[in-house]
Amino acid sequence: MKQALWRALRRVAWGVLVIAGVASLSFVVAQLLPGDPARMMVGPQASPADVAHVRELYGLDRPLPVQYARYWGRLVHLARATPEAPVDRAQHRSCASLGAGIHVDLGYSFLYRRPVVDLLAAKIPRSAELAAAAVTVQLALGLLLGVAAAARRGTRWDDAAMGVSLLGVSAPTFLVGLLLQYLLAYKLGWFPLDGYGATAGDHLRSLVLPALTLGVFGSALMARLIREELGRVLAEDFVRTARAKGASPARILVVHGLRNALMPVATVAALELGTLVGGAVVTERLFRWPGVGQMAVEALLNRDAPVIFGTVLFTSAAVVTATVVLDLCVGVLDPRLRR
Amino acid sequence: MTGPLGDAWARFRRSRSAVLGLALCAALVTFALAGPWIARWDPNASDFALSRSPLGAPPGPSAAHWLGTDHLFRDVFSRLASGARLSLAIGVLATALATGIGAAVGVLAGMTEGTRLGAVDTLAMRLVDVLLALPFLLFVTAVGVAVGHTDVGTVLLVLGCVGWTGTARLVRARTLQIRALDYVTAARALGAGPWRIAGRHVLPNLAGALAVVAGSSVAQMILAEAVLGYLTVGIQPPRATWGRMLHEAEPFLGTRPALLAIPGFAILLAVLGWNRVGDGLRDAFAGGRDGDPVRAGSLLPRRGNLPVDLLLAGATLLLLSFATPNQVAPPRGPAPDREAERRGGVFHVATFVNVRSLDPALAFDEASNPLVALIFARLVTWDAGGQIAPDLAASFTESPDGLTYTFELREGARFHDGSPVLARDVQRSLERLLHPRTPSPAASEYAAIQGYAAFHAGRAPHLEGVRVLGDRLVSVQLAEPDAAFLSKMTLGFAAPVCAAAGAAAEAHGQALPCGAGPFRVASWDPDKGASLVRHEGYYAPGRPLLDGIEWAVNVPSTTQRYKFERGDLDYVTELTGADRDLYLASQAWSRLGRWRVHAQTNAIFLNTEVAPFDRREIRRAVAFAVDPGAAARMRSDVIEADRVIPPGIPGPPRTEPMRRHDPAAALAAMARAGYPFDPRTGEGGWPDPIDYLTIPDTGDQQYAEIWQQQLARVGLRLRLRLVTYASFLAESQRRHGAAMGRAGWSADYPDPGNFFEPTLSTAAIQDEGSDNVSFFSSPELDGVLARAHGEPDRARRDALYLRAEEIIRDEAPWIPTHGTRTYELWQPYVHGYAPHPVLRQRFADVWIDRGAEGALSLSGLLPSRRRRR
Repeated sequence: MKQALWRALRRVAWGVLVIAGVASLSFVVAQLLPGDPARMMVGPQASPADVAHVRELYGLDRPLPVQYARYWGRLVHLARATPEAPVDRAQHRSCASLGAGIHVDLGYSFLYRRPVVDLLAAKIPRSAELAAAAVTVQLALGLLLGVAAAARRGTRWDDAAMGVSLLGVSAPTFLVGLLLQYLLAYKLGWFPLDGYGATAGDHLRSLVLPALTLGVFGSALMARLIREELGRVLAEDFVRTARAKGASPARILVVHGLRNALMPVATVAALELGTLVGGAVVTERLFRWPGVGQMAVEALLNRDAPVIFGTVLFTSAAVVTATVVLDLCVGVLDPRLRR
Repeated sequence: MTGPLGDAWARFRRSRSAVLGLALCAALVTFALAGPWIARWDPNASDFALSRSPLGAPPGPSAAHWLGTDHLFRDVFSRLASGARLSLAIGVLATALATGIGAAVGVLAGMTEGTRLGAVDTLAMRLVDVLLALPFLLFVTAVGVAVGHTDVGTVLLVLGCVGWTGTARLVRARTLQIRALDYVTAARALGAGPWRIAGRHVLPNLAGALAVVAGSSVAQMILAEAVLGYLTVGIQPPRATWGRMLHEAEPFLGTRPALLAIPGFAILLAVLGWNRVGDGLRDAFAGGRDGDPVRAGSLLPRRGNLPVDLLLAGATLLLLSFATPNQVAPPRGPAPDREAERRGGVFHVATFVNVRSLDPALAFDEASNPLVALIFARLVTWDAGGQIAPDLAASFTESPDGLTYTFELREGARFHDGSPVLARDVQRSLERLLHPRTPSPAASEYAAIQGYAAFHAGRAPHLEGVRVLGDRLVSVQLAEPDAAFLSKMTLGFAAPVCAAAGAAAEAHGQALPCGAGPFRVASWDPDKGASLVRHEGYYAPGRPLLDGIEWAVNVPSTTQRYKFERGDLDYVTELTGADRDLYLASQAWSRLGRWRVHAQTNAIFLNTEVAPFDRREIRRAVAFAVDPGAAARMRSDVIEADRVIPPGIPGPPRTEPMRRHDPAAALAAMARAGYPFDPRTGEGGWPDPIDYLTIPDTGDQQYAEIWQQQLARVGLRLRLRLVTYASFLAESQRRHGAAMGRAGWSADYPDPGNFFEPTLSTAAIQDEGSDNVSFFSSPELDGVLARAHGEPDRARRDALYLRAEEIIRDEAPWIPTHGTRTYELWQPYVHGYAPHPVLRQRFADVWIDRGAEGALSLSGLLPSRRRRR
């Protein structure tokens, strides 16, 4: 038990190191790319004098190591308020408070002219929601098709399911999104065209189309994987024994079949969740879903370093968390691998 | 063939599905190899003799072009054939690379986990973590920058590097499971080494899962190449790949769906064939192996199964190809009574860009300006005749020496917060604009104001040149005459702002925008848009007529069209080309829309300090060889241009053409330059390819592909260099950065000086960040521009700018090619809107009359609501 705990801690520590490393790398690479953030802020038609003025105002003319040090310096700091010395609002305008006087400061975005923590706080939950919905769609559709195909292997059902999944796996996301929007929102009017929705009901309806768009590829892949793994497991001797003992088909499928095929399914699902949380740009743009993806792309294209740093910090954290959780749950997924 | 291989082949042959797949693959490969021989056309050559269909789509199948042409009039069949090689190769090779690396790393990691070599597993998995966490876009951009010109190798490298991580994790997980099985333990006990275990037990059990992953990967790799194309790291245009063809056909989904269906179907066929072969191989080899559970039934012939996937795909293709072009819904409701103006109603507008700031001192982009104009009134504005007219200033005078401007403010002009607009507010607002802490993009436009330098640098507490002469009387003193000064006072930068806006425009200020315009801001969310309501204290009595305006942002063009049709939007100007052509073709709608010509010039810039364009004769050859008329035939929003100043900007008369297309003169100029070219043999011309800098996925990329063909005819071979916008600015604005590319200028204010001074004068040259991207320096031009800058007499000024145009024509640092126009369309119940000669989207005088639908109330920022009739 103590060994397991020790291993878990080591894994988590590695994860944190990876996150910090990747975010730093992104910051450095973004700064080294050609392109002048000051120029991007004032537009192509501003005179060189105005560009220089803005560059100086934002400290963009300072050398790279200085800027880098500034970010890390202010990233996490303490700001305890006492009655004699209340927290100076102006100094801490771009900070987010985590309670107990701990502040996180990711700086200001050049492009959006707002604190990066505000931007992230607004958009992360939206992306997370969409990712969760997409993975739910993937699992549901994937399981449905995959199990149907595996249980009736070699029949018309199998062919139909695999045919549909093949289409799903070959279709480009933007085309799927366009078609879904055209058919279901525009022609039939069942769902809103875009946006986030104002009320809870509207919101759920707005979630459907983007989740479906994102889920198509993943569900097709999942279906094929499940069919493959489940088919292999169902042909094993112990399943034949279970059938001979009189177990119902449902029990065989779920208890004996799926439980053994869980590992690859969980891997794919976790990875998808981790990466999708970072934002699915095309879908977010098409359905005007206010997520992180679109912001990350714009930030990179406009050389907006604080936002790049902030979004990469977040997206890498999402992916690393997914993989760490997966690693820690290996024992649960397959008891044969428990030490 | 006997033995295990022979058995496998026999099993494979018996599966109809696998054989079908093999046939498909063989057919595609044959097409790829032989296609270019069968096709009659050069896949990269436009057939300039063609023109678009009445609905604006490229021409369809004909005797000359079997599958029709694409948006640049290039033969689709030829492009499909030439793209087949690249796409198939990339799809298969990238998949093999990614799957191979992933499987190798996964097995290695899985086998060494927990053993003495456990560090290998840890290292591999941490590497996977890092790669998974690394943002794809950043990685790709960095690669694009590091590699100068991307080609197939780069694409394979990127796709291979990125694609293996997921597979590796999957394979490792499976390997761990297999390793823990009883019979593997038994094998180890019998003395089997790790290699034997891996080869004999692990890999065969992985084959199924790997086949699934690899199969789904082929299509993704082909499509990913197209994505890499927009990220500037793909196969350089004009070379065709299926993914790129699919992407370029996207705008024509409604009008020529076959353009999408053809490459899409080709990709589908490749994937289907590949997957079936993969399945067949796996089943064939699985049949005879020890330890494999699929035994029973594998030797019996499989029943003929319906190729469901092929049927589905075929049905989709048929549906798409023969679908009738999208029709537009007719205008809703009867034409309401136009006579009497009606007060009330909410006007809905949308834009697809992000509006970043509504602070008039900071907002500079095309998307913000119309919004800012509704919120912030200026001292002076433009009237419908294109003349400067009073706005907040009831009257204004200019001193005879052109150095002093006096403005008298109206009585009763009020800000949104209720306070009156006084002379000291004008002073405060100008000082706010030019404050040292304000990151304004246009401060230097007002550099002529006396005391600017000291105040802007923070050395003086006030702007000396702005003087408050009375409650409502203010004067601005210039240090030197500026003929365009009044034009600059019509800009948002000079608009008076409320006192709450502070002494400097804090870039991170959160206060709601507050000015003296006809509408005030009720709410503003940069992700959703702005909600404006009528300013009850506006100085014009009874105005504005609208209760409010809802201005949504980030709405894509296709969605705008859907909303417009459903009545959720009252005005659109950002329709896709295909949608716009549909509306133009519709009788009912065409009388409700107008073209608005942009005050903008697009040109090709030639860097006069970089070979070969340091030679004037070669620049002249380019000027004669380029024919923008071809671009105008391909897109209805392009207008040919022959000079720097666009139409609509007051300037010298445009009676004679300034530049003409003359291929013979071009060839003569090349000969004079010492690089004669013989068009029949293709010998001669400039020996090296010249890089043309452009941004992928833009109109300019399309024009570049046209100029490429036209310049090849005079011996100048262009190579497209795709970069992102930020890189484009950095490279083109750097000395010796780029030889040629796109240049252009949008009018900041309607004055010819605005088009020459920032772009072609010697003063505009910098080593970095130079707006004079041709690095063109002509003392004569500088002299002409300097005289015209302060010249008060209109006729003399026009003559000076005419001379400037002639200099540019003769020296050819810029080749002006075209101007653009957009189509504006509004609902039949929208009145009072007319395109203004200077101001865009001027909605202050609009009124709406929805007749039976009645007045609508302010609804906040709901993205889309069905209208209930």
